[in-house]
Amino acid sequence: MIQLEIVRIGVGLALLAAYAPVTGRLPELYGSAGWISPEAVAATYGGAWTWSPLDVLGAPRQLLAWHALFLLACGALAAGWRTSWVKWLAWAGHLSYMHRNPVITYGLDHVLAALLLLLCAAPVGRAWSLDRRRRGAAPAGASLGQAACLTLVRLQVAVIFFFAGVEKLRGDSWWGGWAVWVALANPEFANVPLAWFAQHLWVVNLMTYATLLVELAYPFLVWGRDTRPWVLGAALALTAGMGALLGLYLFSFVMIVGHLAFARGAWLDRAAT
Amino acid sequence: MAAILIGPAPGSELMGTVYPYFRPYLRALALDTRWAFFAPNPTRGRTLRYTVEDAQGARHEFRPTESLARWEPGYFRLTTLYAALRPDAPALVASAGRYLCRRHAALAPRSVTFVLRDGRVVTPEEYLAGARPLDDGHVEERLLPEVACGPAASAG
Repeated sequence: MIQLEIVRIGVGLALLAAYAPVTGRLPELYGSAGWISPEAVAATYGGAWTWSPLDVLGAPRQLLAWHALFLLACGALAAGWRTSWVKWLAWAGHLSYMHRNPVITYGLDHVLAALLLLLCAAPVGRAWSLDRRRRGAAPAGASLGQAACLTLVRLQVAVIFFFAGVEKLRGDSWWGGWAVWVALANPEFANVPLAWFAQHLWVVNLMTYATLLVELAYPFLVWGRDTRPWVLGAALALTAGMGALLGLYLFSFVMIVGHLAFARGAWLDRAAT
Repeated sequence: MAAILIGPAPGSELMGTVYPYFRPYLRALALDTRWAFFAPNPTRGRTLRYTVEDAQGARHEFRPTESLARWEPGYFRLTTLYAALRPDAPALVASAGRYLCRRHAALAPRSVTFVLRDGRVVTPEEYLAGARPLDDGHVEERLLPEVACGPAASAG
């Protein structure tokens, strides 16, 4: 199933893009003598069920060796090389970083962890992969396992959007129509000149309510044959817009990859030819 | 499928019964999240500053959030880290303080003190009038308890 392979390639590339740039900061972010010690993590979050190999492999050289192995696994996952076992390495590696320093994890990491887990259960690497070239055989038709895993990936993406929308309903800035202004004005995210938005507040209102509408409608309408193209288009526009306006490029990329799980095979065939 | 649905589900009598059975697995698999992006309200601007007091008693101020460029590797990891140093996370504050003692060992530091600067929302009208989110008049400053540097850090 091409949709699962798109998710595999996207997740592999996103992991590379998330972790390769921080190679020079490994001791600072994940080392035993870095910002946050394993003891501080245990004292703050509790240590049960969240052990990480990096709790003990905290020296710079050990970290670098672990990191190199992990990045190779991520690259192999994206390329579809020995996919049946490198996906487990990529998943375990990602969790090891998240558990070692949960302080620096954010939404992107959780979305990747969820999609990686589903990819581990899925038979992936059967198309658009080096495994496919190596085996040389024509890809088999969609198996029951592939169909079930694709449904779970879709359900996961729908659940993410649903709860993202529902949680916003508790916020007065979303009800009031000015939440997008608050996000845009936060220097951490500010990625565009604000003066134009300040002069055209109705655009901010429209964007705020459109965000709510799309996030709440998506989990219900994305399953319907007739409504899927429209709601998927709206979700892609929302996600791409968020990436551009708030500088959340990688997060947006991963969510777009997730949305593509809903693309129909015929659309992808048409796009490929 | 249960993990997908139970992880972000809101608290209720039913969830209070079911969730404890799933919690260890959800935590281990990093699925214990509510997917609350920019919710219930988007966060406002926050910056972290800290002061290193050296052996002579002189104070040196550093502004990590403000000196962090958008294109730097790990930008969001570092902004998330700076935002996590709060009064309700004393172990994280102490760990970060000890790290900075080592990082500034050349100053023979005695202590590190963090200053949290929480911005308030600048309205569009204020923005057009020239106000900016982290201007001094728009932030609330809080000092965190001083973190003492050990002799190893002071010795450089």
